[in-house]
Amino acid sequence: MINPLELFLLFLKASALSFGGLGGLPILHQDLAERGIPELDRLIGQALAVGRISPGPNGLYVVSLGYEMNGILGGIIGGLALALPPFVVLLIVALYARVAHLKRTANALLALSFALTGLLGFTSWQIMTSSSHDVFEWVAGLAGFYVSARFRFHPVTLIGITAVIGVAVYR
Amino acid sequence: MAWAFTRIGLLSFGGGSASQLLMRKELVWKKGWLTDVEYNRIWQLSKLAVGIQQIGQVILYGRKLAGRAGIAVAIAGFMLPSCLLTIIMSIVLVAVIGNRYIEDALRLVVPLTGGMTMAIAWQMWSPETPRAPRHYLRLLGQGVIVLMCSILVGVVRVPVPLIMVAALTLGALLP
Repeated sequence: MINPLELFLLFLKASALSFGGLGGLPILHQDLAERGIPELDRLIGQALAVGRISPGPNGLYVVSLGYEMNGILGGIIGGLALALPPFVVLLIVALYARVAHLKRTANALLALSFALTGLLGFTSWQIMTSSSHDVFEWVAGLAGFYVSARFRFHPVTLIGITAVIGVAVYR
Repeated sequence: MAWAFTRIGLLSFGGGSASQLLMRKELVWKKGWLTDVEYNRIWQLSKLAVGIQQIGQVILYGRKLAGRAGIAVAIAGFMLPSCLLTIIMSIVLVAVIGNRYIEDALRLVVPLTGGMTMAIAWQMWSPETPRAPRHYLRLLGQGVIVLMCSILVGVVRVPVPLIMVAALTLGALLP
């Protein structure tokens, strides 16, 4: 178990250095992996599932992960770490007006979005591959990618159907 | 305001697009607190927020509607109930782990969420279908950045924040 303050700082770092609900996942994954958390990919996968079926903004998987790692206090820590960094928007909005018209600003943000694709892509690939040991698990991972990328399936429906198939396949 | 933002937080299942629709419906169409133009302007600005963009958006709407008190009310309404529900769902999940059926279900759900997250990464890039030779070149450049970042984090184990700073700097240096 990681101590609550350290966990809060890790969540805060991931949230403060990222854009978007899942943008902090690569940072968090790397930091937690360095601390040798057992079954980390499984914990994150479960937290992602809860995050996808719960209401509210994307990124609430951090609350679920906090709970898995440190109980209710961990969940509260996760929520706080998500809520604080976006306040920087008040400052950024004031500063952005000065540089918004520059082409370099647009280029920098564009390059960052490609970088985030690579980082998040790799992290999610790692979660998928480390939890896939037989053909059904591989198919579930690849289908999750294909169906989500191609169709507008509601995450709750997709997770529900997969859970039922899981019970049917392994019973 | 608290009730309006609580409704938005609690009813927006399915992530970003659902939240956007609900927020616009509640703040613009139903309550008439903001015009479409004001809503869109703040939405654009909120894309500069670090962390979860929707939280930044809620902060800006709260400030616009009622200053500092508005920020507090909007954030509390938007975040508290959905965080509480997430914790309750996690409690249930952790309590039932070990149950054979749940374990069987999770065996497929965990890799599925990995794949679903990978789809989000793909959609963040959303490469255009090339129609001219220069489009292929642009696509190749984008692909190289995506691949390089994956290799840097996965193989070379470079710290993620360093990669993000490098990408920002590289982008800013481009003509």
